[in-house]
Amino acid sequence: MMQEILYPLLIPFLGAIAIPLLSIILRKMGIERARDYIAAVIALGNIVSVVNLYQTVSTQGTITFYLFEPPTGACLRVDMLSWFMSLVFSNLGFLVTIYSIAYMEKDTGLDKYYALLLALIGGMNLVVYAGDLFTLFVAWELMSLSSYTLVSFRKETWEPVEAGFKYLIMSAFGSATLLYAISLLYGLTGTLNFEALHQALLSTEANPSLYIIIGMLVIGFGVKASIVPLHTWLPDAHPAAPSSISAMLSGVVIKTGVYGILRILLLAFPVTVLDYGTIIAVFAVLTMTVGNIMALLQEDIKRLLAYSSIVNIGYIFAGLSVGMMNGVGEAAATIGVAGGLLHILNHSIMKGMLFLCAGAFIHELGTRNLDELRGIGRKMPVTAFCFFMGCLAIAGVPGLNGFVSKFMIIWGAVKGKQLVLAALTLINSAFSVAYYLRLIHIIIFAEPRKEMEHIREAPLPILIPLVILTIQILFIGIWWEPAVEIAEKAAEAVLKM
Amino acid sequence: MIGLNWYLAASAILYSIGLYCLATKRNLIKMIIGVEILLNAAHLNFIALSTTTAGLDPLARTYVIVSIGVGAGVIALALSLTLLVYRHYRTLDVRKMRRLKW
Repeated sequence: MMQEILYPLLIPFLGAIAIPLLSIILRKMGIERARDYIAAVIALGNIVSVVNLYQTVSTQGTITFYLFEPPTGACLRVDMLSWFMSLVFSNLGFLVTIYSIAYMEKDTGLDKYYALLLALIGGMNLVVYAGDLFTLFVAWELMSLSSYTLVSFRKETWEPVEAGFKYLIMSAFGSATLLYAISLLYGLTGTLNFEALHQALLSTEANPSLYIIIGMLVIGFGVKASIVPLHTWLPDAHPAAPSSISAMLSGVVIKTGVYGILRILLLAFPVTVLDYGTIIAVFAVLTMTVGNIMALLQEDIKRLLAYSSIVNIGYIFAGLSVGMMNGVGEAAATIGVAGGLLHILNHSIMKGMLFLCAGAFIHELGTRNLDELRGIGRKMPVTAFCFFMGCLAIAGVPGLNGFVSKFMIIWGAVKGKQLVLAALTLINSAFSVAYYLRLIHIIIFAEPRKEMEHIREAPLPILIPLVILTIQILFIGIWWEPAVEIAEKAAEAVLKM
Repeated sequence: MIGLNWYLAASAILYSIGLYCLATKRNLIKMIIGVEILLNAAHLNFIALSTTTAGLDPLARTYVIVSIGVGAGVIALALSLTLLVYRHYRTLDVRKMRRLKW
């Protein structure tokens, strides 16, 4: 019964260990490519184990799994929010693993690639399943190490190495700040367990040291989530990585930072005493505005999509900040946080797909420049259709999934009487349509260049994830009730701790 | 007996030195040393705060030892990336690189 929550961690981690060993045997047998399919099967097993957990989590509310005796030591704690996040991670992780079968076929050292990809998925699952701050920190570093290595995976060229180094230095600074904040919290309360922390700070009074801890936590998690003054690594690291890894980074890895801020702030610091929602809202608006302006100026398709990820982090924080404000009312807080969480799911689907489509174009043509990609959509109809749907969804066209979550975020802000926040989010959302339309125009409607005569449709392992993600976009866009219901349950789990 | 506040002040100063190092140094190895100083500031804070009049909290020491191990992994990766950077550019100066703007 309790062991169920170990499967989403054990399957990817043991898989990560097994893949390099298996590939030695498979190489001797002369069927080395079988390793790619085994990795995909392991990622599928991870999804199955996560989905399997839903019944237990929804009936019991919170499952706590102690590795040692209760008061001390590491523990795992799974509630609806953790489950929701791990579903988001596993979904994109599986599709990216399938995509990599064709996309990475010309690279060498693929046993390490798949081991690191599975370790990344497992590390993210452990981040959201952690029941105390130290387990969270160790999982955080495990996930970060995998992602640094994957960003600089194609180490023969200068760009991934340089971007990976920049990512590593900024992210290591964030981790050190996070550890410092954790040590201060430990000094204040004498514990790092989530439940005990919550109890210890329940009746606290506002004092400067708590604000310092909040600031350090927001900086520590914010580097990974790329809140604007700390975002400078993202537009370099995401384009430099292989496209499959860009999809993982933009789609899910930056969301772990969002999870960290949401979970730790709402857990440890009572909103009624320390009113920090407004500060988060200011950063949210700053993030989306800067991201929008920078995205308009880009000439590189992956760099444009990376800036668009920063914009979407802004929307997510706008939704979450409503839940962190004092006196907005329970209904508004639930809708705002649920909107933010639903946008995490939707953005992972949409941005994951846009990066995978961009990767398919790059795989066929070998360039990232938007001028040189002009009209490539006419040669690759299926990929182009998926790209078109992704652009429309992320621009917020009604009937597709991006609209549902953006509507919930703005509705939550209006219901909580944060009209300035709602208006700025709406203006930014409208503004962002400009560059999505530009993308659609360049990729699909422009006349193809002469050099594209030989371009054919992408191979099947690339098309399968794209089609599955398009179906998910349409599914959540048209029949949104189940997704909204799960997001609301997750929001309630974190708000009513 | 040195009071707790001295340790906290020392770790705050270490943290500031690490930040200064990251912000001003232009050599990749020196930046990695800055990251190491930042991490050690947090470790010192942990150990200082775990010491009370009643005794030591063994949990905090476990945390610090695990964290030192994790930090060593990050630093090792950073150094191996530095090696790759050197192979591409034949220099460790950040300003000589094309796109690293901090």
